[in-house]
Amino acid sequence: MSGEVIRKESKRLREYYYEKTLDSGLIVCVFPKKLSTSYAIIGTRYGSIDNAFKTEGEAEFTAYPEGIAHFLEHKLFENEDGVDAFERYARFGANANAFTTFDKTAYLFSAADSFYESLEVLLDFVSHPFFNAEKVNKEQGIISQEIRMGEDNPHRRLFSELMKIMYQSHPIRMDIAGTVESISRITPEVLYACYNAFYRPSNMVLSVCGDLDETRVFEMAERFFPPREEKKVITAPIEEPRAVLKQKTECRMDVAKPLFNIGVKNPDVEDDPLERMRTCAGMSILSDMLFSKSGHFYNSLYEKGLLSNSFDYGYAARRSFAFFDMSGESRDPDAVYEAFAACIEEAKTNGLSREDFEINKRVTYASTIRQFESTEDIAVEMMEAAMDGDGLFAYSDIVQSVSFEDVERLLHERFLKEYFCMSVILPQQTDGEGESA
Amino acid sequence: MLAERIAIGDGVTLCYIHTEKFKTNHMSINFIDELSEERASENALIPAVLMRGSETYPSMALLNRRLDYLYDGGVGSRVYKKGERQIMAFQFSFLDDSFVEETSLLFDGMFEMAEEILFHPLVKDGAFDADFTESEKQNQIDAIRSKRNNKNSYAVLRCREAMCEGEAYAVSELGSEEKIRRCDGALLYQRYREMIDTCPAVIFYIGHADKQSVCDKLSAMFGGKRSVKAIPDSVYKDAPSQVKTVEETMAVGQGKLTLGFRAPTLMGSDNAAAYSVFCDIFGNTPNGKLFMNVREKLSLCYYCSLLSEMNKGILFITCGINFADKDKAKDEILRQLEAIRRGEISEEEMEATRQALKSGYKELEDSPASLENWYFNRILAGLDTTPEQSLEKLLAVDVNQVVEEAKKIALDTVYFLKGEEA
Repeated sequence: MSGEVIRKESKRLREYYYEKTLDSGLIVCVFPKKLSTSYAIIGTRYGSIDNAFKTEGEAEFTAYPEGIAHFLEHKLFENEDGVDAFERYARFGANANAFTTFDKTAYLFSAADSFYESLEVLLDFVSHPFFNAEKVNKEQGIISQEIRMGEDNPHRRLFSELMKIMYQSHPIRMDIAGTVESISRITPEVLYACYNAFYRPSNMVLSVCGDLDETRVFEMAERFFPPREEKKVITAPIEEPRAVLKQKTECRMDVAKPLFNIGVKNPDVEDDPLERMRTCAGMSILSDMLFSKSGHFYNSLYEKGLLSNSFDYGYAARRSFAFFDMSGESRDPDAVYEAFAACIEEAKTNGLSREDFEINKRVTYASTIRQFESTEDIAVEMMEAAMDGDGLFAYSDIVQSVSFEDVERLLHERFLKEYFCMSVILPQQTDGEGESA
Repeated sequence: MLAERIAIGDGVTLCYIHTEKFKTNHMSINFIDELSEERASENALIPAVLMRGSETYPSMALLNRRLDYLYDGGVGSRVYKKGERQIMAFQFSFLDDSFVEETSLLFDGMFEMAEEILFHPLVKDGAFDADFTESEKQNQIDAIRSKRNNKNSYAVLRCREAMCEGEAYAVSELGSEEKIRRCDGALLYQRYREMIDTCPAVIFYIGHADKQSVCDKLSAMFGGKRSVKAIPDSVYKDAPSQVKTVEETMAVGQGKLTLGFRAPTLMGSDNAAAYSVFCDIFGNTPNGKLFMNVREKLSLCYYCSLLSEMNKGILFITCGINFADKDKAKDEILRQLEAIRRGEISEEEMEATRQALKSGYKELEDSPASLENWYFNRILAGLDTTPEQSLEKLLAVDVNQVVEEAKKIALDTVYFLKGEEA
């Protein structure tokens, strides 16, 4: 017997949506929104970090080729009758895509008219895998180009190198798309093995946003994801030591000016998604207090020509990993790193300002409102919140409840020097003279 | 969604769209100048220096602190080109007052910011602050040099530069290092005054506020007399009789190939709809000939993108491939173009394109940035069509018209960026 339809509401944000857990375990969320287009996304808790697993009854864990979750994402679009999902979507004008991250894979589309026809395409191809050797070989060529394109991208390399020094053995160190070599080992058999392990309805969430009839959406989802026998899957435990591997790494690429990415590892990632969210809210406010464009850190470095408008920072937390990171361009990354460390020390010594806290809480609050402007933002957040939290409105409620003491505690607990590290991309060495950046 | 064009002052047009469907209200103020070697560098510096501080908020820290107070109000500047016009854009996005406790705090705050930044810069003895000027000059030089960081877009940039050598279009929207170095606070202030007093301006407001309130605020800012300059249209140039080929080497692992075509159907032409449909059939979507063939059938690439610059009459096809596949990829792209010229376009392809266009036009309505861009292109071309009228024309295009447009484009330049070991 299916679960009840739950109506989740936020009076403060003046928004609401419906959520239902089907018999099969699939969670379906429908957010009514009167815009000109509607958006649908279906995701599974399977990403590049879920590289080694076993099914119930198996003795050993099997490690699968790096990049397999992403490869599977590409291949799922193929259907047995030879018609690609893009061709099917094209009949209805849907704008479709998919993505793979460290911890999830998702398939999506945006549609103006013919939403339900497009939803049918989505639910059908995601629930009916078809992999054969000929198509797998062909995809290796395409994904090899995707990998090579990524290798030429300095920002991608910068972040990838940071993960390699922040983590000692965590699968986050692997590139999401894999390598040209690793994907050459992918076969239809391993694709089926991974699909069957992770594309189980109880591991998935369907999230839609638009001017829609939720009953119709629930009914369609039930049709494509009926209850079935599920084998339990155990991912290999991740045994990541607390410490970073090393504190700095450098490499050279053809860039005009050095790029830097400073990271702060959180070795105490909370298991409970709500606790993770609480830390995220506090870290968002704290990092704005320390590093925003209104603050001393950014402005003093900018005025000295050590930072530019290309500057970003944030805190990310998912199952099994969490870190703060800051990135930008600078002719002297070491000076930025020193200033970063000094800024943290100074804040710990002199304390934070309550006025700063209140202003930045207002800033984080504003961002929670802006999340509800587009069907895409809403649907994606709603999916994330269903997979990894307590629903869409939990975060903005948590933001409201963060206290000054919470933020002080995070400063002392989450910014410890031993967990700092930095990745740098330097310009290519010039022979003899040549203008320095 | 109705867009109304309202004359605010001399050479100042407001494009006003009333909507309550977004949580934020968006406004952009855009000054338009002719793109020229002589003025580009200074024009590009103006927004950056203005954003460093104003009379009431004399530093970035104070400016940004004020924005934090205004519930994370967004203010940004951007310089870019549309055809042979340089646009100096100032963008504002603020939450609507209905979400905060004080009525009209954010509405007033947004216009106060615009007024401060544009009309009350930090000026002393007829010059911008020397420190601001010097540091923004360096930032701009760095930005020009950093274009090489993204190899995909760099391969398009280099093709454009090679193709349009000697034309205004080859001038970078950020100017040149040489001209930037020669700039100082006094010269910059002069250029700023010229921009404020003589450049045509187009303003967009997309949000909750009523028309009268918006007009009142803007008239107060722009009400005075201005002697507005005429900005010439972009100049279309035909392809040369011999295709230009350019090859460069950089530290890349993947080759980047860009084919530059001259495409004589410009924004505002009677055939513009047919040309847009041709572009969709050729590239742009997963059902276009390029994706289906260069990528899916031949596995030569991950991306094979079509970039149409209808303000100037140029089309680029660009892809990332193995070094050894340069000729194979180029041949396949041209083979697909020939197929279109022979009329090898199925009814499924035409119908898929129509469906995609219908969806695309609906998507416009849900994105303030897309709406603004759509209307801006039309305003610059002197058109007052609505999206509905445009869509009607697009849906009426037939295969023969697509074939005709395909025949009009001509290959001008082939640019290839290869690696050191290639």
